[in-house]
Amino acid sequence: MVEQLRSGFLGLFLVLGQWLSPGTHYADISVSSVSKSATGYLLQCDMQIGWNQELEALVNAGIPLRFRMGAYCSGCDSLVFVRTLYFDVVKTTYYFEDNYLGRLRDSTARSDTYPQVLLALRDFTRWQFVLCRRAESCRIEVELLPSRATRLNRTVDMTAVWGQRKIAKVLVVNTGNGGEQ
Amino acid sequence: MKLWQRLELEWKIFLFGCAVFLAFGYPMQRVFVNRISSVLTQSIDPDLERLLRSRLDQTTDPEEKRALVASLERNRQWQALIPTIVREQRQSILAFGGILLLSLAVVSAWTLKRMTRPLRELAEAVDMIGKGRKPTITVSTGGALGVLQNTVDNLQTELDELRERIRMQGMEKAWQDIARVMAHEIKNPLTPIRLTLDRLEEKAALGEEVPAASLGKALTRINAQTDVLERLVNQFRSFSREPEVRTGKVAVHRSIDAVATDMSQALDTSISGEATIAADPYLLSQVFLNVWKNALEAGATKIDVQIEPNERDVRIRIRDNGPGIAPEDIDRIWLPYVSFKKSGTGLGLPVVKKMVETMNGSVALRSSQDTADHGAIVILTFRRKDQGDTAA
Repeated sequence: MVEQLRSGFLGLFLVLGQWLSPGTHYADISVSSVSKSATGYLLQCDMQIGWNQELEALVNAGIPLRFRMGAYCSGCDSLVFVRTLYFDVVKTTYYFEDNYLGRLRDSTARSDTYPQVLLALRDFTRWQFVLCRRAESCRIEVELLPSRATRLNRTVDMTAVWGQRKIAKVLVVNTGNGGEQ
Repeated sequence: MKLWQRLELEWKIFLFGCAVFLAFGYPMQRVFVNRISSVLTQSIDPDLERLLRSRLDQTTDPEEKRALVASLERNRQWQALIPTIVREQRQSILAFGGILLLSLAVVSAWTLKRMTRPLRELAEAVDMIGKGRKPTITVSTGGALGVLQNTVDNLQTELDELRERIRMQGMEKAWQDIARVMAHEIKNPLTPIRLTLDRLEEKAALGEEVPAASLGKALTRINAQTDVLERLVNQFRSFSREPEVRTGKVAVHRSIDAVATDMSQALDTSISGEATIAADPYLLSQVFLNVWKNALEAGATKIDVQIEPNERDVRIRIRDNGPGIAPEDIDRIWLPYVSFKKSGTGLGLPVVKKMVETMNGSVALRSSQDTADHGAIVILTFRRKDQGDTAA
């Protein structure tokens, strides 16, 4: 009950925030936090998604929104996974799935369900990866993948709606000071 | 000429295509897109989702539930994809317009290569033919354009032959004219010489003594006619050879004054102005002498000279009060052996022209046959040479 109330308030604030905020139709990636882990550094990435009503309409129509998230670091294993945002038309809830490629091939992780899209997007646009200690640079990429409108039997290229296909950011690790830029 | 008329055909085709695209293509795609958007939007039943959801809540049959969910999703997906479909249609129409424009550009390029450029080359070739040059005409295409190229090529060959024929005929005619005039001019003084000699021969044959006075007269007559012959030969030689030029500074007034003094018995000369020119003093005096003699032979009694220097050149206007020359004869006056006087050789003015041009000058002739203001005006123009300049 408390959790639902909390989600409701949060959703309301997010809606108001998006309504009041200036134009945010451009997308960007940023590293929001860095913390040490046993094998290196744990980096949390945030994507400013550039959400718009047409994208929301497509997701609400049951057309999944698919991004390939990647972190390609020199000297470390790359992390690549496909994150897909779904809408359950019957329950009218949102959730997303991560399909890992590479070392964790075919493994899938499913998120919680969210009653509002903005709540789902808050977690959808946030992911973590471990940067190993010997890494000198790291390229973080987010690429929008084509989706499938299953009921109409057609593939939808959502880049025209989103405004771009790929965004990327390169991190250069300053090994001399033991930190990163 | 208007800009549109000056444009090449290929540019006209391309610009016409652009104008058609802007005038019809772009507005039409907007009309089409608006129409298709409206039709697609109208195709959605606004109550369908509510009805499907209502039925979904009521039913417990899993098969029906699956079918209802599928319908619900199909309806939503169709509704959500309308902007995407409209955008795709717009892009298709614009792409079609772009392809059309590209096709027009290709047609323009083809027109340039196959039609306009050969026509332009032909026009240039014809212009060169007109100027007496020999352009290379290649028959590069078939059809009417190829026939035209072939015809111009044949025309050029025929013109070459015609030019050569005219040149040969001209030379032949010139030689005939020279021979005719020379024969006539030589015959004139020869006749009195022959007559005088015949008379002396008759007297000698009869054993008559020729009085000293008569003999003197005969000799004087023969001598005079021999002078005429010599003058004729000299003028012919002057015309035929390139005169030797020794350019220097010549004071025009003084040079004219010397000639005018020699001719003062027959011609009254007035001179105004003064200038120094770059010329050969001897050739210049010959030029003035010829002009004065020409005026005298034409029946003039007075010559008025104006020396007009300007920044670079000096113009010498020599005007006589003779009968003048008919306008239709002015262009022919510079041709050798053309004379409009009874005693003229037809070489005086051509020799003047040749000597003036040898000294880098120019000569022109104007004439008036009005009763009040008649006479010929010879205008000589020479390069100005200031007093301080050194002789060339």
